[in-house]
Amino acid sequence: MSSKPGVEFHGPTFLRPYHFAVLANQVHRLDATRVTVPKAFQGYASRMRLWQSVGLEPPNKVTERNPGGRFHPLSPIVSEMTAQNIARDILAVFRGAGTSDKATLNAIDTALSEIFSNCFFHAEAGREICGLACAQSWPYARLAQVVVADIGIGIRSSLGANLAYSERLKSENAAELATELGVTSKPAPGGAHSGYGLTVARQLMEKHGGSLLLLSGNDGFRATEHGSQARELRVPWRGTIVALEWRTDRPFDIGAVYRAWPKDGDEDEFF
Amino acid sequence: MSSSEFQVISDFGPLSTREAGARARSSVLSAMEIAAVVTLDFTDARPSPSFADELVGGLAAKLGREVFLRRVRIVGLDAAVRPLLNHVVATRLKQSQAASDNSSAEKPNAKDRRQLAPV
Repeated sequence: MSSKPGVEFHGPTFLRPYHFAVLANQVHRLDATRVTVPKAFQGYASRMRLWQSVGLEPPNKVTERNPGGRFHPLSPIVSEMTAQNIARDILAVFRGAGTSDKATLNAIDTALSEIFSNCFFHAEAGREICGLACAQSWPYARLAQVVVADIGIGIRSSLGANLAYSERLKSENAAELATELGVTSKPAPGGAHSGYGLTVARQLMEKHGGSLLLLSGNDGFRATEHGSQARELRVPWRGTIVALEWRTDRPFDIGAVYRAWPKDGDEDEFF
Repeated sequence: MSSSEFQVISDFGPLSTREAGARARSSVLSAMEIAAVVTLDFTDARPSPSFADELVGGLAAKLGREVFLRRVRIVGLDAAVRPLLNHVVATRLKQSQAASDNSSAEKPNAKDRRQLAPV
């Protein structure tokens, strides 16, 4: 008998990528050797690769139907390359779901590439798997959700490495701070990161009727087109969860995000 | 001295990662060793902010404002990408300027150097 723990899941009756990403990460954190979910969800959970994504055998074999246009199962991020491959594969989900507008697909690709790469570069999970990502689209509801979650050091610790934020972190919500343009734990020239990922994701969602949910440690932050809200979490998450949700019938324009970034008049016009 | 041209989408793609942007920057800097002017053709290119920051922002930081504007030509920019490239160049030039100012401030002036010289 294994001394490793098991995880029994009592959850909501309607599961989203968010639930799978949280559960799989928790299983990964505990090095659990078995996961029990209600029988009604087992087929769905197996197709979302809940067990397989963290190296466990699923309780029942399911036919791996082509998920094109519907979902992308839980996938581990182990390198910058896998982060990019997952972003590309998730893009295929939305293509399959009927999104054909090139500008919209490019905007989704950009946001996902940035936040998945963030997971690889900043999670510092101390394990081969830096984080897990998955996605689902609901064509009839014209809704999509993409989630990437990790069990790393969290945003507060990560930003704490940059002394420029020491004062602000004493009083501000770290998750909200991380969505500000130019905020990074590893600034150039030494670190060569520039803090674009969460800013692009947040502003893209805000400008196009979507939402960004960011949970890390005790810091929770949500941004929508109606405004944003930062709060202290009652149940902290040791790591970081980024969830994007948007309506698939609204086109994205990433240029609108870039045009809104501040500049110092004509001096910043080079091209 | 000749000129050199890169088609960003085909020569450097995929345009999403920092690593790819850094590789592209190396290629451009190598080309600049023999070419007076390097043209980057962004036709149909939709780089991620990280890629743009590494390639274009990184070139601006490395070369400095004057040399960058004189020797790097950027053409074929889509209206959606133009503000991104302007942003990464402005940001990197300001960071370089700030680093340079800090470095100058830390260096002793001529009088200080005389005082510090061993007797």
